[in-house]
Amino acid sequence: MRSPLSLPVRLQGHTISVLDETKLPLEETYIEVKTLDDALQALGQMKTRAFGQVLLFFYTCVLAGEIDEVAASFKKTRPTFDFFTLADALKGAAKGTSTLREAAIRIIEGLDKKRTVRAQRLAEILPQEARILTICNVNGELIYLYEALTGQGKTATFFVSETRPYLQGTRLTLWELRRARIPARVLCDNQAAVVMQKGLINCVVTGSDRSTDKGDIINKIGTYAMARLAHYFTIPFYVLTQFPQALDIEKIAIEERPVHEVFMWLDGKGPRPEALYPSFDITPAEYISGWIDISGEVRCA
Amino acid sequence: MRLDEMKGGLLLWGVPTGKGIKEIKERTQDNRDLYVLVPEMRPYLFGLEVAGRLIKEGIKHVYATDNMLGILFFKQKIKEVLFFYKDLIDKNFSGICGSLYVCLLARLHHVPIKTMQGEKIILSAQATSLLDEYMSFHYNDMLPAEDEAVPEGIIR
Repeated sequence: MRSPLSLPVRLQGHTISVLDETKLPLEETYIEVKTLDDALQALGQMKTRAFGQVLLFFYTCVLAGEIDEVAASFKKTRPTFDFFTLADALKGAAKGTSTLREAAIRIIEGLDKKRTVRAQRLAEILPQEARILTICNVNGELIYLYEALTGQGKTATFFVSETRPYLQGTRLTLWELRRARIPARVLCDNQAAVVMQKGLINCVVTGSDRSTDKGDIINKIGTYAMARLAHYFTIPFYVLTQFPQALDIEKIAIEERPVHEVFMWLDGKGPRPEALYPSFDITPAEYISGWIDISGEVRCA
Repeated sequence: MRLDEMKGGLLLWGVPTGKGIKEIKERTQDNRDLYVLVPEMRPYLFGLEVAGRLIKEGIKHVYATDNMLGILFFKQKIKEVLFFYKDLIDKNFSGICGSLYVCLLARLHHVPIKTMQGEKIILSAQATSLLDEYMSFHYNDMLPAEDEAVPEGIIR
């Protein structure tokens, strides 16, 4: 079964259709993107993120008929993510095709297939009865993982960390797992330690927005704490990676989002004090047990 | 506030009594550069309640969601934790949901924890998500939000 989040952005003619993730799970609606400005607005407002922003980037290049300016604009809007590597990939693919559209579609189809292979590889190293703690949302890949695990005769239950402030865990991951009738429970982000202490989970699986060849990663805020606690409780912590680079992770800009977003979903409850909102954190390689790359390569610590 | 602007922070966890609020006030009067950091304290959002009390007392503070605490410890933005526990039973401090998370992170980053008696609030373990009003959760979908025991050894 596929989640609508597996391919949340599609190109139809000269319009990009973007699943509005900020409306989920209350409404499954799509917004139309016809220009670079529309795309940047959707990106800045978190209408799509993660794999969705990869798709949005490729399709916006198709609409705009160029790559470098789109990459620079996307980078300005979401500074932590590496759009320049995507730009290089698209330029490379375009050399072997007649149109940018054809090149983009070829890359996207390839990436989606690779995500299913990556899930297979990860399933091979997870326990027989996997009780998996997750953070944020990896666009349908947990469903691929569940199918891979059950295909290998294993069982799986997901423990979904709600992932404040945007609640991607509750709104997106729990929603897509429930739709697929996959066993899942939601927990507060601050319950990560207690589920580890009680032995309710036996592994952690996360995505990553950036990764280095040394194994350091940048991912959704809260990932570092989860990794550090998993390391303390000797629970394996696995990361899905793509395009690891030879660079110093500390030099990557950590996006800090508008603080009013910290108070989203609170329905006007309470005061609105001054707040912090770093939207990502860095997890050093020493707290990570294994890296499963989009290339299919599995590396364990 | 940007992360770079924040320096030595005093992290609060749990719900302070009047005595606790007095202690926080004295700390901030003694050190004007001290940032009082108030986490959200899900699922009950005690952070908003505590922030409201600090505002009334004129105590400057900064709010963060619970999952931001990792990066704050990592970047050495927290110098001390004030843990307002509910009970001390058999060398275990009993605190609100998330107490083990905060105390372990503090210990792993060598940040001292000062314990103080906090409010003994009795709450339903069925509190779940901020989306309760929108999504109908089955009870089995959620992990009960219970008080947590923090062994004294983690704190001392």
